[in-house]
Amino acid sequence: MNDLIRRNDPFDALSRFGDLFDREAFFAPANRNEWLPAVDIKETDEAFVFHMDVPGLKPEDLDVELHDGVLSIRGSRNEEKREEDKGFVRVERRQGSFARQFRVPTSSKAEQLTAKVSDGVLTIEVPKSNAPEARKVAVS
Amino acid sequence: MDLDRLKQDVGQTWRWLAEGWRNISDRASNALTYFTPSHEAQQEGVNDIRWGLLAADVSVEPDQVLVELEAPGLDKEDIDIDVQGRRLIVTGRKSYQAERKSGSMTISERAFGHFQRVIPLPEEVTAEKAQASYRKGVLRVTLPKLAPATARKVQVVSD
Repeated sequence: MNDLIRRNDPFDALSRFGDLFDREAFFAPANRNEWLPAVDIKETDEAFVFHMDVPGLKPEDLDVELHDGVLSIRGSRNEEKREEDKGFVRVERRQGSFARQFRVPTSSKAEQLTAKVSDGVLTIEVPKSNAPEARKVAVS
Repeated sequence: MDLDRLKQDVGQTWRWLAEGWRNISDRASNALTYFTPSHEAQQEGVNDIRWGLLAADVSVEPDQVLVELEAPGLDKEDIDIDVQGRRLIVTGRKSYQAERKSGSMTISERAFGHFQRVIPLPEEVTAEKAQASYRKGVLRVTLPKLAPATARKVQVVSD
């Protein structure tokens, strides 16, 4: 009897559907207001070059780190200003912080990493090491 | 399983879904902007990314309307601003030339080319007195409100 009732209850089917979602993960982008700036990565003969759109960010708002072959780019915007300001009729710009990570070949010269921001575009250059990629191994 | 709790849970899920969707569509659908690649770019087949997010904030201050548009990597000279009634029209060109002339792309997410973004204004403004600046990839346009018609006092006369 109990079984019958549940089968006829539309909520039952929905609930099983709902359980399939990992809610935290599924809704994370909207709920946490996730911000992932677009990036272009290109490889030249000398370096890997990253261009990331970070409009409105100052150099001190950005954090670039290369560690164990992983390049981490973090940035944050000051939210306080928005809180104080009233009279917004349209809000599309992202507040808060972002973090993106990219794997770069471990042969990269981490100590020669350069990063600059200009007109809202962050440019990072990871120079390649000069060590030849091909290695000859004697067959025994 | 407790049926009431289940229902409550489902309701909550749908509310999350609705709220999440509203949030995304509110922000993204407005900011989503089509980029028309330049002729050279099309010929070289450089750029496949045609959509970019140009996010705008609009706020109303006592005597002006402030519009801030995120448009990173542009040349000041390549931005055009026009006011038509209650609409601010921003056209621009994001050039890929400088960044892409050498090397091969591994990841390409950013859009290049011509774009146009139309932003509705909440009030009538004096277009001639609009001012714009471009800093850190953010275009900031201030539009003074149209002076309100001076109130007319009418004396009531009795005969």
